[in-house]
Amino acid sequence: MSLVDAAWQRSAVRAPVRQHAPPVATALMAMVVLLIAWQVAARWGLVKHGYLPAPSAVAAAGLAMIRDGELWENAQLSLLEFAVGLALSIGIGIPLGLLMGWFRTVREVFEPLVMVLNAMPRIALIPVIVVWLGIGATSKIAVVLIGAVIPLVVNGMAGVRDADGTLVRLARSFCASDLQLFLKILLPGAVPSLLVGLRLAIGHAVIGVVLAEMYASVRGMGYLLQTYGTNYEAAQLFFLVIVVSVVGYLATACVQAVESRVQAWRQP
Amino acid sequence: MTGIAGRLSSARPMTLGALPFVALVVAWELLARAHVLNRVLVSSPSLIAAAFLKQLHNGTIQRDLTASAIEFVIGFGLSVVVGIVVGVAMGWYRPFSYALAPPLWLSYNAPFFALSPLLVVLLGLGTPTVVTIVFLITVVPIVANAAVGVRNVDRTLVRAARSFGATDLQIFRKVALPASIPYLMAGLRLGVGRALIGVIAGEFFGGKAGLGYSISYFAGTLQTDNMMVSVVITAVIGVILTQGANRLERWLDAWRGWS
Repeated sequence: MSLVDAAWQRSAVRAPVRQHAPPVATALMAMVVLLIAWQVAARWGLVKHGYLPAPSAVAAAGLAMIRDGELWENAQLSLLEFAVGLALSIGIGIPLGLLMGWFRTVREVFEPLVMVLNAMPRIALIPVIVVWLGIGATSKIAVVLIGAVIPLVVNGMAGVRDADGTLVRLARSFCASDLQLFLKILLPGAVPSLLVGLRLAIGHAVIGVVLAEMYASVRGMGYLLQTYGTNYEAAQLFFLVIVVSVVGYLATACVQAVESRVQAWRQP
Repeated sequence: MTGIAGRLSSARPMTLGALPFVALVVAWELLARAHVLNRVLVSSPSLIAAAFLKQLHNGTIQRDLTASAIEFVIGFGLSVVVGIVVGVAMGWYRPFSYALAPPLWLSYNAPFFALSPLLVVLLGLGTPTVVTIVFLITVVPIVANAAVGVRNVDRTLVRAARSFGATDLQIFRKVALPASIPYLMAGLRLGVGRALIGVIAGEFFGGKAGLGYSISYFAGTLQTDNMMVSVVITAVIGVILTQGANRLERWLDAWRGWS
């Protein structure tokens, strides 16, 4: 989590606060106004109390879940499934994508399959995976993998194919070997596209792990969401929804921070 | 080998691309026939084909497609209308954009599906709940892309149009809209993908008919042949909708050219 915190502070808090104070102030003010309006509406019974809990009730429910360890115990498992699934996706997706960009034959063999998987809602495979692999952590990792690997493959391929032809010819003229060409020209050129792929992959991984746990599991954030939801404990449910949203946002923001660094480095 | 490949060079990509599908189907069928794979759990291509014909005959497929299509069209349609209006407003009025940005970024990864029990109580099981979930997850990328598109409109063009006495509506129609179409279309393309996810996942938890409902129902009752029929149809629908969005994007690009 320290890495997340560090990148978050660098990218979103420190630099922009100094440069664009008004946007942050406007955003904070809007948030405060929204929260107050929500609290007042819930207090005065303008909305049915059970379905839209007041912010104070959400905060109280959240504190209780943090204090008795219920949140961390379940978040741990979900984070582990998310991390293993994403690591496998990176290990498989990036090499496959780069190979598909580099070798025509590999591309021609795998492109239609990748395109079908890219176009379909891959979460439709969750029940299939649960039937095949059971309700444990393995099926969640498989769901994350199938969700996150495809954007990495697609963007890895696009990154190599969109390489600057002049640079490739230049390297060839200076007798660069295939390996040198790949390491010095194609791989660095594909980095921005791969980062976009990683950002999309994280989004699919978050949705995948939560949905798969909601669908069938006995632990994890999705399990908690499903349990509190079906018991109509709205305060706990809203708190968990916010926690997942924030974690997903932080993971995405990390990649975005790296993306802007790479952009700055490429265009000095 | 090279001679044949050379002569059939135009057919080559098609043939090679079909390889994984053919290999998958043949291996799956053979392994299931040889009882290496448990046919109850993994089904087999021939069993899936038989289940497909049966479902086509008794109308399950037609009923599922109708239910899912209605949810998709209403949910996606609402997202497009609301998303473009809010996104254009965010692009045009900076303070509005600053105020809405944080909730928008949080919504990108929000597990709105988890709200389905509450939505079912408030709105009822089936179409209303699924449409709400589709709307919530689809509207986000459409808003974000419309806002970026309008913000990136060339200010010189806007000032030029104003100097020649263009009204706000004319500026929107003649300058802002054509200039932001690539962004709007990118938003719509992302939206199609997310709306499909919303329909399927929404039906898992809050549906009473449709492709996602059938996948979940057949999985729960271990009717794997029927489950795979719904999965394959979902994949085909996904390909058709994505291709459609790509076609629309090219067509609008052409319109932008002579508008």
